[in-house]
Amino acid sequence: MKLKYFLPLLFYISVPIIGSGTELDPYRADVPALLLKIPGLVVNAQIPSNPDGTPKFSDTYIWIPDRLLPPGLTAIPNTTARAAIKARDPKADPDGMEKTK
Amino acid sequence: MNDEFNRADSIDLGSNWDSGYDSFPSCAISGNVAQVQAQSDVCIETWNANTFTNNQWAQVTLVTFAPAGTDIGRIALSLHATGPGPTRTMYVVKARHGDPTASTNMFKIVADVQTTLATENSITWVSGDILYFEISGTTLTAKRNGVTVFTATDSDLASGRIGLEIDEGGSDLTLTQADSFSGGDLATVGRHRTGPMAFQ
Repeated sequence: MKLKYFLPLLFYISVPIIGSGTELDPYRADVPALLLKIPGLVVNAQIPSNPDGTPKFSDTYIWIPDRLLPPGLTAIPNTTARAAIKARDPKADPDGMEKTK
Repeated sequence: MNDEFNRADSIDLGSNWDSGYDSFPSCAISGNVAQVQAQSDVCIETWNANTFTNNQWAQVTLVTFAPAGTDIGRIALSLHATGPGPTRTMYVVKARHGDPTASTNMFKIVADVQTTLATENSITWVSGDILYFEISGTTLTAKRNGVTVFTATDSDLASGRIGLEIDEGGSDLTLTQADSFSGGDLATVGRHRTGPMAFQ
């Protein structure tokens, strides 16, 4: 058993933001293909916007509940990610991201 | 508030609703339910008869949600929406039927620029399902039939209206219909309801 791929029940990863802001190509987290293969995956991302709707940052933190971290991806410790989310938006509530399912 | 759309057929939801978002037409009432006016339309309206606090909710019954074949239908709720104008600014949760890209999405739309805050692709929305959306502080929550689908956090849009969007991408506009729209302040009795509210 490859224990190095097992982590606690949740984790964050940092990914780029892609898209152009249109309905067919909204700004969104560039979720790694490995994660997209997980059945039933829910992805939520913190993406603060400028007044014109464009993202304030070029990357985002996404939270993956109750999953195993696929090989090749690096998890960010929860405390680190939550602090970064609050730094980017003091009003943001990381608990709000982690209530999913 | 609660709107069962039980009134005469119309090409508008009525005086308690506002259309006029960008180039999107108003929604129609047909047979006491809400739907688009014509095939392949996307209609958007928001409720203007009440002002709700920033912690607000809305829900709608997907009374008919069965687009034929490969047709795509979408029914969405909006919160913290601005009034009508040349662009849209609002949070949106969208239930999708027949859409290979996702089953449920949560968007932030700022001056027509769209950002996906949450997405999933495992739910099969069917006729009779209830779509629910709430904002509490900076936590945005979408539910299906009372069960959380996903949550997200965002603080960019602080307040605004509640509203409805219907997107019929197929050949039969009567196969994507909404009914029993309700909403209000989160503190009010009646939140997280799973059926229509009855007034006496």
